[in-house]
Amino acid sequence: MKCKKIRELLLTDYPDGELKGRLKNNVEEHLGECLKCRQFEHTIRKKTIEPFKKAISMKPRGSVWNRICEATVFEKRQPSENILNKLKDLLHRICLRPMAAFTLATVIIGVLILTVTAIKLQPKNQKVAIVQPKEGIEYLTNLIEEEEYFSIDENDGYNTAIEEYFF
Amino acid sequence: MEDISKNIIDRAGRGDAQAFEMMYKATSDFIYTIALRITNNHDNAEDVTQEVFIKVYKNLKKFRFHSSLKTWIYRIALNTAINACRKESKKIERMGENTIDMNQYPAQEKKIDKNKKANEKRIASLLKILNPDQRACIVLREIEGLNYKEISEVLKVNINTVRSRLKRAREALLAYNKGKERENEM
Repeated sequence: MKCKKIRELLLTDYPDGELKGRLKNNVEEHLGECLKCRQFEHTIRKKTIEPFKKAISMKPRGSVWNRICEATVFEKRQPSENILNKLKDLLHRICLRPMAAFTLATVIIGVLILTVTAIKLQPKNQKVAIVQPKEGIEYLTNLIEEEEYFSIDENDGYNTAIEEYFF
Repeated sequence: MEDISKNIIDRAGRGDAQAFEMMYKATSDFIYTIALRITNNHDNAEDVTQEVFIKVYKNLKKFRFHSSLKTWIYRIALNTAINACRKESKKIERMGENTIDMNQYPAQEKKIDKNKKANEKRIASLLKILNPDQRACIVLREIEGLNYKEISEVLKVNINTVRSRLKRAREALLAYNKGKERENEM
């Protein structure tokens, strides 16, 4: 392998551990023989890789979390909004499961078909006795009054000749 | 980045503030550090961290575990940081002044010892000469220790693109070092 090709690999795959098998062996063999490429490999490691290995982790200031909270998390939601969100969540979760989504869709379609069929099967000219609540109360009051009237009559007798004869 | 259980992710996705805070505690340091490496500015890094967590909070419900949470967060963090960096570059071009303030460490970072601080400055100056895409590749490879496949997944680019960005970044770093050495010799 020529130095140019080796140096391409020394800039990327070789120091990053991406080379395997025969290609890796070829590079290592070349490095054993070629001083310039060995020096190039050393420079790459020292100047472009090693400085980053000592990088430390940094912490954001506490105010960042406060800003995040203010922006999103603890916005107090209205109760109705909560219910809406819960419904949205539920629908979202159902939609994520194909079986549940299919079952829900089947139930909805079934209910719709039954409703439409029931409406179509209802005779168009059938008069439905609609009794207004007020009229209904009056009707029932009349019925009771009539019953009371007849029951009073019953107790007092039928005012017939036979009655008069016996009593 | 610390591991976060699926239960915590689910709870945070449903708006559980406590679970979201646990996620923040487990990931904020690494998100902030990545943002700082890319933007080279503490204030911008904090803004990026805030923006990343707002995005995570809003989109956590949609997270379907097709990729790992780490890859997903890396992607959001890097894209947000790269965008912030580009905006900042345009601002600098417009204003004609350098607003990079890597030397102004926040209060808690004053405790860092001298050697580490010097190394951090060196890292910042090395990253500064790279463009945001090269910077992202170097940060993921050298600092986060991701392999080429993982980097390509995070950045949603081809492995060969990762390879060529790393190659150009290292060539630029070598050239920068040579220039510095010449300056010192003179």
